[in-house]
Amino acid sequence: MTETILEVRGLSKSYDTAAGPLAVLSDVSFTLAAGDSMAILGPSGSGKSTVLGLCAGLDRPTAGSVRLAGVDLATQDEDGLARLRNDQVGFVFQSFQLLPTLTALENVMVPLELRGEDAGERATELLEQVGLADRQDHYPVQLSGGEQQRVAIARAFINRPRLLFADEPMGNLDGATAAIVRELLFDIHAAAGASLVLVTHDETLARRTGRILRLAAGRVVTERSM
Amino acid sequence: MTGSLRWAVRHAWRDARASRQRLLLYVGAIIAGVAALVAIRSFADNLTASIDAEAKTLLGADLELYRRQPLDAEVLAIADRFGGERIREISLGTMAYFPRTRDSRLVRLRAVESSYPFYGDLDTLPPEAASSFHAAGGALVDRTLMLQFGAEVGDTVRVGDLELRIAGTLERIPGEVPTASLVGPRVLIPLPLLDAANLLGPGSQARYALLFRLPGSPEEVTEQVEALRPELRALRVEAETVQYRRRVVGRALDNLYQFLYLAGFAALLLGGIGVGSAMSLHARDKVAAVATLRCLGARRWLPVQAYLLQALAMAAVGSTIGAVIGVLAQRVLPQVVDAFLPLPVEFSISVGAVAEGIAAGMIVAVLFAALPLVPLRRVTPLQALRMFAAPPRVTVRDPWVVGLAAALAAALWLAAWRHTGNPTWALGIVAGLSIVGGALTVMAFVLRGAARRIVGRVTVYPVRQGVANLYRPQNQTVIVLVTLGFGTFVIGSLLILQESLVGAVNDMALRSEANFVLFDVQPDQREGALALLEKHGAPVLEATAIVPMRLAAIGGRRVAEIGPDEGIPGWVLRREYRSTYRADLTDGETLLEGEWIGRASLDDATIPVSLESGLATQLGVSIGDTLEFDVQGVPVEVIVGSIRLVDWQQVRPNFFVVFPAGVLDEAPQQFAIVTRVASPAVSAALQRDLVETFRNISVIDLGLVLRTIDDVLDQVRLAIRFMTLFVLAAGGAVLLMAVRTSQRQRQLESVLLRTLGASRRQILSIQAVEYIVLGGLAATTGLGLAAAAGLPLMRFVFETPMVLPVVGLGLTLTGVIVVTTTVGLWGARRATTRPPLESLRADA
Repeated sequence: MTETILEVRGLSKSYDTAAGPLAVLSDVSFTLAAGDSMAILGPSGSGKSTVLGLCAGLDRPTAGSVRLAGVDLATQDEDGLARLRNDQVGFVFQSFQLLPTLTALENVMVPLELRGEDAGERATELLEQVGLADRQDHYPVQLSGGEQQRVAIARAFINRPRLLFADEPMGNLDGATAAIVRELLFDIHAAAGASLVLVTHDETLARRTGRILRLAAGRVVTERSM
Repeated sequence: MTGSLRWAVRHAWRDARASRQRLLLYVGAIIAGVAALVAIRSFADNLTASIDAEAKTLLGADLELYRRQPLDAEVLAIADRFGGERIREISLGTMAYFPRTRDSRLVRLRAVESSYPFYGDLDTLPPEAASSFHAAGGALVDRTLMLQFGAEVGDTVRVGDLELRIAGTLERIPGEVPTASLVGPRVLIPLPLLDAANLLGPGSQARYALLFRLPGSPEEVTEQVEALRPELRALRVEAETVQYRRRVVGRALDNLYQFLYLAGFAALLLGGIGVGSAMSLHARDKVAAVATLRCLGARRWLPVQAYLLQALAMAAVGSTIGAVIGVLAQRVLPQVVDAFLPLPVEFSISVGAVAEGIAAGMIVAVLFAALPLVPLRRVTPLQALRMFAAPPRVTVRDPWVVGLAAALAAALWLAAWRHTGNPTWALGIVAGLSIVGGALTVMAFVLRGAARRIVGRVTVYPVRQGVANLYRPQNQTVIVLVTLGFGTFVIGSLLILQESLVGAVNDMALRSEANFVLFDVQPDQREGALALLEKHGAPVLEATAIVPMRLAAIGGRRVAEIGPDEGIPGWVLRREYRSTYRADLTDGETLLEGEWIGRASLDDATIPVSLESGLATQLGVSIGDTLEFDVQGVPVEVIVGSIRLVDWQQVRPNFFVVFPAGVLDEAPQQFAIVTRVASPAVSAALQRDLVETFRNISVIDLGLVLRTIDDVLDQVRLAIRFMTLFVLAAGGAVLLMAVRTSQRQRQLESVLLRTLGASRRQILSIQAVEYIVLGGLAATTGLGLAAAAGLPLMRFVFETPMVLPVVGLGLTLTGVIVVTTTVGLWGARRATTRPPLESLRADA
C-alpha cells in the first residue's frame, strides 16, 4: 500500500473582522500519496495559498486537521512545525523569497545549515543542476527573476524533501523564462521522487500534475485525476 | 557550539556584509557615549591615583595645627608632643598695594618659614624664586594679581607698612586649586618680615598655623591627633591631617566627577536610543527574510539570535572605538578642568575604566538593540507568501519587550547608583529620564493625531503631503521625535543650568544698592574713612560695629565639654563670632520667632540676642535658651530672644548673632562701612586713598567680586562645553539615524512621485515640511521639558531662580530644525538627481 504523505480533513479557516467572522476556506479534504503530485487551481482569492499555508504548518486552521508525513500538525508547537518543515518540506514561492543579504550559494545552503550539516558540496551540485554554477557568488539583486527562481528551486530540494510546496512558482516570470523554470521544477521533482503540491491559476501548468483540486470561494468545487 | 548557534553566528556574519552602512551607523551611535564614560572614569581613576601618590602635597605637610589666636605656650607644649620638624605660618586677609600702578586689592597674605612646604614644590616664575624669596626678603605674588595690575617681577608690593620686591609670580601652591587664586589671590612673604607690616593688631583676622613633618604614616598621625583632640579643642586649635584633607578633596572632586559623569551618562543614553533607532530599521528590513527562514525550518528565536549577535558584535566594535577615543580624550580632560584640581594629574590608561566603559556601552547597546529585534520572533512563516510583510510591532503587551525595558531601566539605575553612590538619586535620574521619554512619546502621538485632523484642510499639495507623512503607515514620527527631543532636552538642560548660575550672580549685583564694603575700620579711623568716602562722592549706606567674641557655653554647659558626637559642628562651637549690636532689624532680615528687642543694658538680668535661623538649628537652641559669650575676656550671658532669617545674598555685613543696642557699645570694636561707588575708576581711586591712609583697612569691591565669579564660571563653562561636545556628538549620530530611519520609505515615495511627474521642488518641499515639523516640535518639546526640569532643579538643588537663556535656546531650536531638515533633504536628493527608473530598480 502506498504511503500517504499529506492528509487533509475538513480544513476550514476564518478570520475575525469587524463585520463578524470571514470564512476564507470551508471544509477542504484530500490526501496525497508519497511521490504523487497535485495542483490546487482557482482564481485569485479562492483560498489556494491559504490551503498551502495550512498544509505546510505556516498557519493554524480554524477547524479540521492536517497530517504531514504521519504527523498531526495540531500536536506540534511552532518550533516543532519548523523542525518538521526542515526535515520533510521544500518551498518555492511566487516572489522567490531569497535572502537578499546572502549569495546564491549561501541561499541554497540555508536549510541544511539550519540542521547543522555541511551543505557546500550539495548546494554547488544543485546550482549546477539548475544551470547557475557560474553565478553561485552572486547576490539575488544581481540575478534576473528566472535565475532567482532557479536558485529557489535548488534551495527547495537541498534537504531532500518528501513534499514540495510551490506557490505560483511561475507567477512572476515571462513566458519563455517560465517554461524553462517549469521544466526544471518538474525534472528535479521527478528525479528526487518527492511529492508536489502546486498552487496555481494556470490550467496548463496544473495539468502537468497527477491531480487537480479546483477551489472557488474557499470550497472544493471539483477534484479530478489526470 | 551547538548547531543552531553556529548557524546564527554564520548568518549574522553573512547578513552583516550587506548591511555594513547601517551597522556602521549603529557603531557610531555608541562611540561618543563610551568615549565620554571612559574619559571621565579614567580621569577619575588617574586623579585618585595622583592624590594617593601625592597625598602629602595636598597639605604640604603631615599635620597642620591652627587657630585664630596667637599660638601660646600651651599650644606649643602640645605641638612638642607630636615631635618631628615644624614650621610656622601666619595668614590673614589684607590689602596689597602696588605702588608703580597705584592699584590695590584684598589678598590672602601668607607669611611662611623657609622650609615651606615640606612636601611638593611651589610653582613659580622664575622657578628659582620659590626658594630664593626667603633669602632675598621678597614676595611671591599670585599670577591673577600680576596679570590684573600688569605687575612684573622686580616691581614692589606693599602689605600694611611693609614694602617688598616681587621676587616671582606664584603659579601654583601644592594642594590648592588654581581657581582659589581668582577668589582670594595669594601673596607669600617670609615670616620674619610679617611684624614689620604691622598687621597683627587687635581684631585682625589672622590664622596662626604650625606645619609638621612627622615620621609616622598618615594613619598614625591621625590617630595621634584623635588622642589629643580634647586638649586641642579646649585650646580652640583645629587640626588637619593628610587623611582629613584627602577626604575633603575627594568629596569636592566627587561633585566635579558627578557633573562630568552625568554628561557622559546622557551621551551614552543618547547613543543607546540611536542604536535602538538603527536596529528598528534593521528589524523592519528583515521581516521577509525571517518569514522565509521560518518556512525553511528555522526555529522562532534563531533569526533573532543571529541579529542579536550582530548587535553584540557591533556594540563591541563601537565600544572599543569609543574606549580608544575616551583614552585619548582623557589626555585633554585634565587641561580642561585643571582650574579645579589640587594637583597635576598624571596620565595613564586605566584598565578598569576601559573595561567598565566597554561593558556599559555593550549592555546599553544590546538592550536598546534587542527591543526592536525580539518582536521578530512573532513573524509568521505565512508572511513569506504575502507580497508585503508588515513588521510586528513593539508593544507593551509583549512580555519580552516589557522585560527588556525593565532590564534597561534596572541597568541605568545600577549605573547611576554606582556613580552617584545614592540609590534614591539614581532612581530620580532614571525616573526623570523615563518621564522625558514618556512625555516625548505622548507628544508624538498627539502630533500624529493632529496631522491626521488638519491634513484635509491644507490646500497646498507639498504641505499636505508633508503633513500626511507624519501619520501614514510606516511613519517614523514617534522614534524621530523621541530621539531628537531627547537630544535637545540634554543640550537645553545644560544651557539653562549654566545661564541660571550666571544669572544668580548678576541678580545679586542688581538687587544690591551697595557695591563697596570697608572692613576692619578701627574706631579712631572711622571719621577719617568717612571723610574719604565723602571726598569720592560715596554715600554711607551703613556703618556697622563689629565685636569679635567666642561662644563659651550653651545652656550652662561649657563648649569644651560638648563632644563631637553631640551633633553640633565643631566650627559652630569654636569659630570667632563677629557680632554687632543695633536697635532695629535691617531690610535683609525677617523675624521668624520670638520678639525683637532693640535695647538692653549690661545690668539687665537677661540680655536677649537674635540668632540667625541656620545657626539656631545647628546649636539646637530655641527661644529662651541661654548662651554665654566670651567678649574678649568678659563673659556675657544672654538668652535667645529672637530667631531671624537672613538674606545672605545682600551686599552688606550680615551677622549670626545680633545684640541689642546698649550692651556692647563700650566693648573693643571695629566698623564695617557699606557704600556705593559710581564707577570702577572711582573704586580704584578710593581704594588707593584708603590703602595709602589706613593700611589695615580691607576693601571688598563688588564689581571685582562679580568679575572674579565670572572668571570662575568661565572655567566651569569650559568644562561644560567640553562635556557638551560628547553629548552633541552622540546627539548628532542619533539625529542622523533617526532621520535615516524614516528616509528609506520617503525615498521610495519620492521616486514614485517623480515617476508620476512631481518636480524636484515639489519633492524637496514635501520632505522639508515633514522634517521642519518634526525637528521643530521635537526641539520645542525637548526645550520645554528642559525648562520644566530646570525649575525644580534650580530651586531645590541650587536654590537660585531659573534663568532661561533665550538666545541660546533659540539657537538650539533653529539648529535642530536646520540640521534635521538638511539631513532629511540630503536623503531626498538622490531621488531627485537620479532617473526614476534607476532608483526603482535599485529599490526593487
